[in-house]
Amino acid sequence: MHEYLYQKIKENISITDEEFEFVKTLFLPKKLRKKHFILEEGDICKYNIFVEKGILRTYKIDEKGNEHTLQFAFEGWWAADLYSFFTNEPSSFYIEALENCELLLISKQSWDDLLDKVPSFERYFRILLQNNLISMQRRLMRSLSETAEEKYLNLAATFPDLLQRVPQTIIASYLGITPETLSRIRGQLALRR
Amino acid sequence: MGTKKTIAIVGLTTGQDNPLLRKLALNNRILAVSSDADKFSELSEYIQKGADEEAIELIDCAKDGCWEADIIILWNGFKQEKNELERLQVVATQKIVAFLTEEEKITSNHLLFPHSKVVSVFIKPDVREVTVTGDDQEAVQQVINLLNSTDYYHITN
Repeated sequence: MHEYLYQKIKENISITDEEFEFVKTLFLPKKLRKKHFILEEGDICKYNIFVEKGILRTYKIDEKGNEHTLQFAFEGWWAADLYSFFTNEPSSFYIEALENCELLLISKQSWDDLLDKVPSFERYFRILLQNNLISMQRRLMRSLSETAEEKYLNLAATFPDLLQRVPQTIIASYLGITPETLSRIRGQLALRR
Repeated sequence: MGTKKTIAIVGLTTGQDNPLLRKLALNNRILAVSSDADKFSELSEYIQKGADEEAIELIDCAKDGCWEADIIILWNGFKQEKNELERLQVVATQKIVAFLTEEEKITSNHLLFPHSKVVSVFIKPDVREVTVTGDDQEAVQQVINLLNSTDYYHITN
């Protein structure tokens, strides 16, 4: 149940077995079925979510009803609306399971407790937030400067597994293009091979 | 708008009509855990009237039900073997675990789930009164809010 969490923690910091046993008591284990939500617009994001199994999608719906996918979270990744999590303000996002998921949730109170009792987690979460910031920066630049085809090829190269596990309409919303454009790009790439 | 809570109810032993269960199913997603599908199919059918299609689901694995749940309700007379209890403890960490009972007595329920938010709910069914107690006040309030939403019991805290 905590295998990926243990692995990801150990990749970044050293903790004792006793410390990890304590860590386990702070996480709420939750199974979430495909197409079910862990967060909906208007909710307070009470948990930071670690994915042990499955895929989560964070997205927003605009005034015209169009979906805009912010990010995915695979096994070993985290998901949350950090603004809502840290400020206790209502979220404007949805977090949905794209597959049956096994999640570990940590509340703000448990998060503070963890940082207090196991100080090495300050480093772990700093690294996490650092990587998240870099990732968001790169995604923003790609969004501003790359063609639709370039965005698709970069995504395929970085996350080849994603194309097999996520529906094309959702990939299109992540890339900021229509499903028709994505279909055309894939068709053109297939012809070139 | 709010994400519907998933409530696992463990320990139901009868297929008789249960008003609280029926009312909980109107605003929440219920996972009723029972290994006796025959007894509960009638109850499920009764509850489905007036509720969403997915409002109540019968499952036969307590661990899976509690794993999926946001709130765990251990129904009146819930008794489990030690091994089964340990399986439930693992998936109940940090969750509200509410013991519903018609016998008011001092219990050590919180010891059964050391890393959960244990709440004791004593029900007087004849007068439809409940008393809700627990160490975690936020958890107690959540359970009170849940019972209040059914508009069925009077909370006497």
